[in-house]
Amino acid sequence: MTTGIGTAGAVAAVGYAAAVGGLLVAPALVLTSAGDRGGVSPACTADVVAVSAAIAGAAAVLAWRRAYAGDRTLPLVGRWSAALAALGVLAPLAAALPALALRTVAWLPAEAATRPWLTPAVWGASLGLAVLGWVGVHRAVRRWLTPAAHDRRSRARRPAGSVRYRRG
Amino acid sequence: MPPLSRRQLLAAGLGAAGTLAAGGGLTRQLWPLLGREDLLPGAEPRLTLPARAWPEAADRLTFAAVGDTGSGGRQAMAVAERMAAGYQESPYGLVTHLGDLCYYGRVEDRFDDVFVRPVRPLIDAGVRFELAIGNHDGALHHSDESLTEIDAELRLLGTPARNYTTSHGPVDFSYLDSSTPGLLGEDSSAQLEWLDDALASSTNQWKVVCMHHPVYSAGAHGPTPHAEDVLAPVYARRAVDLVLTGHDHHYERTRPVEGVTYVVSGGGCKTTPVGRSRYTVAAASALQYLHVDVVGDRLTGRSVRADGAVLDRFELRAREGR
Repeated sequence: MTTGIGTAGAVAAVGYAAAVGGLLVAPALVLTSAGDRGGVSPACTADVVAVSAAIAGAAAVLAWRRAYAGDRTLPLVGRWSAALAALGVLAPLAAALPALALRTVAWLPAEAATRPWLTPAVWGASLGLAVLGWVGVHRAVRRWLTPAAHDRRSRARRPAGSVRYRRG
Repeated sequence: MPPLSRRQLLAAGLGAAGTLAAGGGLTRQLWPLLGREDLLPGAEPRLTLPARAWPEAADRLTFAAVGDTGSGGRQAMAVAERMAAGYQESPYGLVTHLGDLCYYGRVEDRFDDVFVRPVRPLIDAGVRFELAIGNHDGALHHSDESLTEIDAELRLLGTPARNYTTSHGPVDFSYLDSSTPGLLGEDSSAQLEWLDDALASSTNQWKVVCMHHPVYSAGAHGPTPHAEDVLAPVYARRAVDLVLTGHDHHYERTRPVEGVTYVVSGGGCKTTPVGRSRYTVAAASALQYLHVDVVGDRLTGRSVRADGAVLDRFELRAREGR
């Protein structure tokens, strides 16, 4: 099956990786920008920006691999449909989960006074969850689109000589 | 390229639509929401202030006015720290809090986080806090639950009532609970009568009213419905000098409207955009508080941003005969 990967595909994959990274780092930049506008130093949000950047970097590499260097036996349209659907899930999750986490953990302010790592940890964990959601949707859509290819890959991965028993 | 299956076409369409919907709709709402709130917990100010350092004289008063501080977040801490720094430069013995003392939960649970920790240096210096009830202290329309919340705040702050007056040096303050019903609802006559009496019996050189909901505002909430019709005539008739409000998370000052200057000082921990109305002479979307000096027949105010920048400076002269 043709995969249509070429220069255009590589550029698109880089764009996709940038979009994934951008979506993950954007909420922290929104906070920095709001504080800056109000008269608070950007250093005030440096910890969450750093955590976001680290997660965004890792996710961007993962996104590039999935869009470009991943399984090329899948049709191009399937791969990009899954990538777009996953991006559609990542965008709201990356903004909503950190906000929801900080908003619901009402005990955090008092705790954060003595444990400065707690806020970036909660922020990072919620971004990590968003990344998991993105990966999960990506995988699920790819499987749904190409069940035959998935079966072929599963069979190919099975060690030679392994026996599979089936009831009946 | 092989022909697309129906499933692939559907997925491609859904993927594109999902990305557009999420990017264009949900995310566009969520990012401003993040920018508007103050969700990152902050470390409390570490300043130690000299106790009771403000000058006490019959014709002098320095006070601070701030509203909408109740997040306990980093931006709230930054404003509180600036207020403490303001005390170091020009000590004051009074803070008029313009409402919304507590966001994101009940005040009984969060009082330390949203109030005590941010302003501990001022509390330790002996500064007095007087509260005007805001909608987040209860609700815009009072219910049993919101009245319980308000009672808790009044008790925790040692505030005598939802509507009350105080007198400090040359200034008489009137504090109003501007939620409805009451001041602006259908059954407003009792509270308005109280307000009229309080202002009429005020004999001091300066009359300042503190309430949460702004009469005039070019911000996100805008002017409070009915306030201009109901309250502005009372303030004009009773020659109020300054009306301090919050609710909208910005700073704004009007030109004198029938002799009354209206200030919104609601940048205690969050910011929302502000435009300009026909009354506006100064406005800024900023984290800020208002520092006011009254010396004899002269009242000067400056709105101080969290980083110390002065957003606005104004001066009022006492009315004739006072």
